[in-house]
Amino acid sequence: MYGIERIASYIPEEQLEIGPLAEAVSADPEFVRTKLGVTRLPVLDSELDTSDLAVAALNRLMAGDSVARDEIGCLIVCTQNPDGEGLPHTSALVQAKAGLPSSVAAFDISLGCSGYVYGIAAVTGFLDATGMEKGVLITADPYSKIVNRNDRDTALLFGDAATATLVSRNGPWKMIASDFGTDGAGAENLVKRDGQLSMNGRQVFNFTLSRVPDQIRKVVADAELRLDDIQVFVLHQGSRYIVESIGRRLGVPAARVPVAIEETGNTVSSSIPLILETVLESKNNKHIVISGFGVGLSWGSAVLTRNSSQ
Amino acid sequence: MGVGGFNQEQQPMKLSNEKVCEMIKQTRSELSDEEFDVNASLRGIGLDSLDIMAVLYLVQEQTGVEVPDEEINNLDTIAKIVEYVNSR
Repeated sequence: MYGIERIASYIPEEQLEIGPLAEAVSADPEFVRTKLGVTRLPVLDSELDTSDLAVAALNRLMAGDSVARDEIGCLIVCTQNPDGEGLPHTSALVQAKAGLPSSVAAFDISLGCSGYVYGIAAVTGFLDATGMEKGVLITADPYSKIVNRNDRDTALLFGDAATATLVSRNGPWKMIASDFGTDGAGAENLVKRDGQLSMNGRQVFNFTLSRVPDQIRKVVADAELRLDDIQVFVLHQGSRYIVESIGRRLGVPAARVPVAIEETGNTVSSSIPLILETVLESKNNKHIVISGFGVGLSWGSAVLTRNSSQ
Repeated sequence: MGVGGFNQEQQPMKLSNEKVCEMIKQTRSELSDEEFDVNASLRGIGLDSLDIMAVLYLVQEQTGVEVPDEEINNLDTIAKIVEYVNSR
């Protein structure tokens, strides 16, 4: 059974401080810091593109000795802000820029904030179907390309980052239960219109609270576990407020529901692996929940369990 | 289920001022010892835009009455929320 072996990440050096951004849209910076949870937003250099962000994360993954370029069988890039006009797929450009062999099966997945959970299921399933040994899931969705800095609903929330997750036959963190959902009737609440992001925050909040806590309870029950058995609930970092709201609904201690949005903002499909990168390294953690929700509307949750023999 | 998952086919539940006060305290636990004036503005009793959104979520969830976005600015007191929901 395939599992997650390792995660690496890249956060752009250029950072926008929230104070001036908040003033520009007549928002209270203190409200943004305390309720949304954001103090600064990393942004991709305007001369670089999504594939460059992806390659930066991939290079960090391969910097150690855990994987060589010719060991990577498949490469999936999760993004809705691809290079250029989206044709060709960004993963093909990443394959070339990163110097991966032409034997790599590379394809993109178009999903937003639920993308990491879907992506782990997709890469695991692809490896299983093909018999390949190792695959990489990259998340790279730089919303700085589509955020209007004059739009109060989105200008203070989204930051750029990329992650690369190595999945292998012997990866210790197995997805033992999962559940997914889609409600396209609510799609208009989080869309790109005329090249810019548009979000109805209230409706996204309502959707999240109505779907996500129940789904988390379901996957934990499907894994034959209790909420108390889960050491960490790694939720998509939509905002501090939504993460804390979900945690309260679940009735689990806040300490087990990390909030890590202050330095990065909402990094879309990268927010879960940015937290997982360190959570998976802790020997104290055996069962972890991951849950992503957003664009689509789409949601997915899963239980990751460390293989006790590894 | 409607968009957002609310069951709009359930029998609407009558809402009371006391119930909305409970929802506010559930949303902002640090206000749990407060007595609220049901005619005071929600902002005036210490709620911000996110808190109001969360309280209205609880109203929708527990009554089955959907509050459209265009009504939000009008429903700025506890009494107005109760009146709106009970008139649906």
